[in-house]
Amino acid sequence: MNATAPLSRYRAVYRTVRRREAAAQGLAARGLRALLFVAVTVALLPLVQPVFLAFLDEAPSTWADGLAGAWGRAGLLLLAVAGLSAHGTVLRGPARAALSLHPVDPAAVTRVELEAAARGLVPLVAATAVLALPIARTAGIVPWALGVAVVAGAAALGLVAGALALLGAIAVAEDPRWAPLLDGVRGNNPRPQAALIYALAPSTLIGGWLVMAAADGAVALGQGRLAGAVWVALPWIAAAIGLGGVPSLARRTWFPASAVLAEVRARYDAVEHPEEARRVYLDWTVRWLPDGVGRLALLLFRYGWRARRAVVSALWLAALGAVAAGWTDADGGPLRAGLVAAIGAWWVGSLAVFQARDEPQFLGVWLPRPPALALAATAWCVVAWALGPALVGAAAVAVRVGPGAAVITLGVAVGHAAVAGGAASVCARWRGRGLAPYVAGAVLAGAGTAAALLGGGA
Amino acid sequence: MSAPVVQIAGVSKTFGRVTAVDGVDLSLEPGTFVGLIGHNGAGKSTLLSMLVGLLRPTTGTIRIAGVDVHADTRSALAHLGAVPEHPALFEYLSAREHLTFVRDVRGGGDVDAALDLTGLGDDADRPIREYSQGMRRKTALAAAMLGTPKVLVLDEAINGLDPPSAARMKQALRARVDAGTTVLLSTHVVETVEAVADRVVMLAHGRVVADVPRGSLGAGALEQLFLERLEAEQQARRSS
Repeated sequence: MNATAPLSRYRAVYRTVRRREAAAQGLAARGLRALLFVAVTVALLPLVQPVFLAFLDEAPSTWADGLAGAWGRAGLLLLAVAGLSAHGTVLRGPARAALSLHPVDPAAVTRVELEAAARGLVPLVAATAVLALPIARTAGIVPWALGVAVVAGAAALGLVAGALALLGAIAVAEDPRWAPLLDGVRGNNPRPQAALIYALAPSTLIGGWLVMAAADGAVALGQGRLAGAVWVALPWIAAAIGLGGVPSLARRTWFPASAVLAEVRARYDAVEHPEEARRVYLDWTVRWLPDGVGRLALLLFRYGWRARRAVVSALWLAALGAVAAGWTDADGGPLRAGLVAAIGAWWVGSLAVFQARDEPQFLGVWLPRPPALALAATAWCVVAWALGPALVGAAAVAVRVGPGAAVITLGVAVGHAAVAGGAASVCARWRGRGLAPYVAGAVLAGAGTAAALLGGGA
Repeated sequence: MSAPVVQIAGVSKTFGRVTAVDGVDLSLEPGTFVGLIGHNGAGKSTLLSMLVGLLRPTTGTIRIAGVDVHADTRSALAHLGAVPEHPALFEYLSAREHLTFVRDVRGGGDVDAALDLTGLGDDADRPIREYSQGMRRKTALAAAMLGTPKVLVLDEAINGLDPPSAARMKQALRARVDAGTTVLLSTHVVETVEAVADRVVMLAHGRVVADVPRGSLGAGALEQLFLERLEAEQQARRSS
C-alpha cells in the first residue's frame, strides 16, 4: 500500500502552512520587509549604470559585449541563488522531518517544494529587471525584455538543475564506488557531506555555460539574428527537460536523503570528531586578539556559523560576483570588484545586529560588552569574513589587470568591511531596531563610495 | 507461530570509532507488545531510527512485513507508524489538519477517533506550534496509529504524558496489539515496560543483553535483571 494523496493535496497543505506562517509573522513585519526590499532596489538603481552598465555611455555599436556580459553575470547570480534555494527546499526543506515518517510521494513533495522555491525567486528576478531598467531606457525595451527572459530562464534552470544535482548527490553519497573520490575531497567533513558540498558545482558550471550562451543569444536576437532565439530559449528548454527527470530521481533518492542527512548530522554532532565539531569557520583568527576582544569575537564567529550559517556561506556568492565584476579590461573593473566584495562585507556585518537581537537580554548583564571591545571584535570578525571574497576578487583583478589594480579592489573591500563592522557594532546596541539603520547605512556607504570613486573618473 | 513482521538481522551502526549498535538480531511476531529498555546512550534511538529508515545500518538488514526498509523505504513506511524521540509535525497546521493529511497520505484511517485518543478537545483546531510537548507527543502518536499499520515503533513516546493520557494511550496500544499490530516501545522507565509489554528486550552499549517474555519475570524482577545484565556487560567490556 502506497500513498494515494494526489498532488493537489500536498499543494493545499503547503499553501495552508505558507499562509499561516506569513500571518504569524505579522502584516506590519511583512510589509516592512517588502518595503525594505523595494527601497534597497530603488536605492541601488542609480548605482547600477555607472558601476555595471558603464558601456551604455559609449557608442551603441559597442554595446553588444557589454549587454551580453551584464545579462550573463546577472543570470549566473540567479542561477547560483536558485541552486542554493533548491538545497534549502528539496534537500533540507523544513517539512522533511514531518514527512519522512510517512509513505509520502517524493515526486509530489519535490514538485510542490520546487514550486514554492520558484515563487520565492520571483522578487529577485523582478528586482533584477528593475535594476536593469537603464538598459530599457538607453538601448530599448526589446534588449531589456530579452535579457530579463535570460535571467528568468537562469533562475528556472538553477532551480531544476540544483534539484537534480542534489538528489543525484544522494545516490553518489550512498554508492561505494564513489567513496575513494569523496574521501579525497571531503577534508574534515563526513564522506556523504562531500557529495552534497560539491553537488552544485557541475550543475552551476553546465548551467552557467547555457546562461552565458543565452545572454549572447539575447543580444544576437536583439540585433535581428533570429538564431539567437534558440539560445535564449535554451535555459528554459533545459529546465523543462530536467523537470521531467525530477520525479523518478526524487522517488529513488528522497527517502534515502533523510538517512544521509541524519548520518551527516550525527557525525558532525561529534560522535566522530568532537574537537572539530566544536570549531567554527575562522575561529582560529581570535588567537591574535587580546582576551576581552577575542572572547566577543569568538561569540560572534560561533553565532554566525551555528545560528546563521547561510549568511556566512552566501559570502561566496559575493566572491563569485567579485570575480565576475573584476574579470574585465574596463577601467572600472577593480573598483566594481571591490564594491561587490564590499556588499558582501555589509551583508555579513548584519550578523552582529542579528546576534544582538537573538541573544537573551540577561546575557547583556552576565556578559557585559564594553563598547570599545565590542567595536573591535565586530570589526575583526567582519573583516575576517569579508577577506575571502575580497581576496578572490583581488586575485581575479590581479590576473586580468595587474597587482596594482588588485590593491584597489582589496582596499575598497577591506575599508568597507571595517566600516561595516563599526556600523554593525553601533546598530547592535539598539537590538531588534538596529537592522533598519544598519541597512540604511549600508546603502548610503555603497552609494557614497560608488559616487565618489566612479565620479572621480574611474 | 506466525512469520515475523519485523526482522532485524546482524544490524550494527558505527560512527567513526564509536559503535552505537552492535550486531543486533531480533524477530518480532505479529500481535506482540515489545518493550525495549536500556540505559541512556544504550543505542535504543539509533536502533529505532534504523528501523524507520532515518539511519542506514553499517551492516545488516531490517525488514518490515518482508520489505527491506532501506531498499524501499516508502513501501516499508506503509506498514509502519512511528513516533521519534523528538516528534516533527507541521507546526502551522492544527492537529486535525495534520492528522487529515497523514490519513490522506496513508490512504485511510479515522481522524475523529484519532483525535478522541489524543484528548485534545477544542485544542485540536489550534496550530500545533502552540502545543505543549505532551500535546505534540499525543498528536504524533495518533498520527502514527492512523491507517492501522502492522508495526508501531515508538521512541520514548509515552514518557512525559499526563497520567490519564498515558493510561489512554497504553489502553489503545494494547487494543492494537490484540488486533494483531506489533508495538516496539523504547523507554528507560522500567515501570512502563512492566505495565504493558509482552516481551522485554534489553540493550546495553549497543548489544542485546536480554530478551525475555515479560510473564517469566516476577514483580520487580525486571529492574533487577536489567541491572545485573548491564553490570555483566560493563565487566565484559572492561576485561576486553
